[in-house]
Amino acid sequence: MTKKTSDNIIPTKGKARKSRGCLIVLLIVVIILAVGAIIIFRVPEKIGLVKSPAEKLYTQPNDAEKAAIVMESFQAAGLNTQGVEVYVMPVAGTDHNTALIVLDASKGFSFNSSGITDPIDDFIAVAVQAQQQGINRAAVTYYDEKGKELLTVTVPTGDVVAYSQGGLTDRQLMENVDIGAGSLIGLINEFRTQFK
Amino acid sequence: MIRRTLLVLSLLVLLLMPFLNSCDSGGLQQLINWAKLWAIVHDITDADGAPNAGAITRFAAGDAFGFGTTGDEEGDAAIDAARVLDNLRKAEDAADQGWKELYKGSNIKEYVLPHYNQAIGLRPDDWSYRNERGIAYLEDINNPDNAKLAKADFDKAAALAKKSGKPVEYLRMLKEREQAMARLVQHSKEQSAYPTGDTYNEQSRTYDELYKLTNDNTYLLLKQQADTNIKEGYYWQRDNTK
Repeated sequence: MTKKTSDNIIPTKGKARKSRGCLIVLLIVVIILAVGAIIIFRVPEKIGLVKSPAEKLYTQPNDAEKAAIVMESFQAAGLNTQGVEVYVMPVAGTDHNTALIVLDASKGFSFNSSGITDPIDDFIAVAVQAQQQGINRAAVTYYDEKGKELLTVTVPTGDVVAYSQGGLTDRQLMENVDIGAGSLIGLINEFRTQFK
Repeated sequence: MIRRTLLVLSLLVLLLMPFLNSCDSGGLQQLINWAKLWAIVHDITDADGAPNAGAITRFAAGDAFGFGTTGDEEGDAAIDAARVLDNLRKAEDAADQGWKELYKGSNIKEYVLPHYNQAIGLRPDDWSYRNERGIAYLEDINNPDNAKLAKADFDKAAALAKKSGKPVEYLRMLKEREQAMARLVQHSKEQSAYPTGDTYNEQSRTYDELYKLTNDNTYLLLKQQADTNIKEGYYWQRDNTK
């Protein structure tokens, strides 16, 4: 009677330990997946727990005066400014300013009618003017015909000016250019249209 | 921050080369050449345009999990600017609409304030919309609490500008307020109308503060002009007898 009981008890304990182990492993997998999903879908930023770098640094108003000067330099460079917007954002906690340049196809911007002959040469003219206004970085964001953000390209204006003065080579300038995209599929579709 | 930089470029290089190579427009061709150089410099492709699978996988994985960074906070913010631009552009449009309605002399509560409320909702830390809503309140002759509400907005604008820790930002805030009021007063005169007494009072206060901060005599003269307008009664005021 005693033996029978102990025979029954010992395997039951082993099974319980195994199933507890399985549950722990399953729980860890679920936690890892949940953390991954939270990071990928930017849940903390969406619910306002964490601010994105842009939200942290661009809290002060657009400097309309400086933005107007940058816009004038676009016009002076002979560019069609239809669908072009410029915002100059002071960078929180610094004396820096970032020029956010919007090229919006939904408001009439088109590469084909923009008057761009060489994007870098044209941009140099703007960057020189911008740097004189205390703007140390420029970011160009392109929106498609539906007004959807597709691509952002950014570079320190100082690097563009240095390039224009022969201080940087083509390669060195491109090393300091960063690119990000909002919609990969939209970007591909847009480029197909633009380059046909 | 989710930055799909290199994943995007790698896929662009792979998918769009046929389109890119067939392009013969001068400006676009230059753009393409720079894009190709960018891809080479960032190791996405080799000099012949062949994609670097290792670099693509490494960076794509990093970007997919949101760990991509330019290595510089301001660079990251610029890349991520669309997040702010979206709200900023909507807020600027709303504020422009509000200002247009104010210029038109529309009912302030009904047609002006909702636009500024929207702009402030979109950019709560941006002092410019507080300034403009404050000016709209000053002109709202039908609201007995208008001056109090305007003061609350101007105080908040001042607090937000001071929060930046930059004296130049506070000065910019005051100057923008002064210029906006001056534009409104000028517009009223052009329409053969008067601004409210509250607007002149605020103008006088703002010019006074600007004079004290900058020692610029122009502000002293402008303050005297606003004070003269008040003294001579060139303004609208609420009829409290009704």
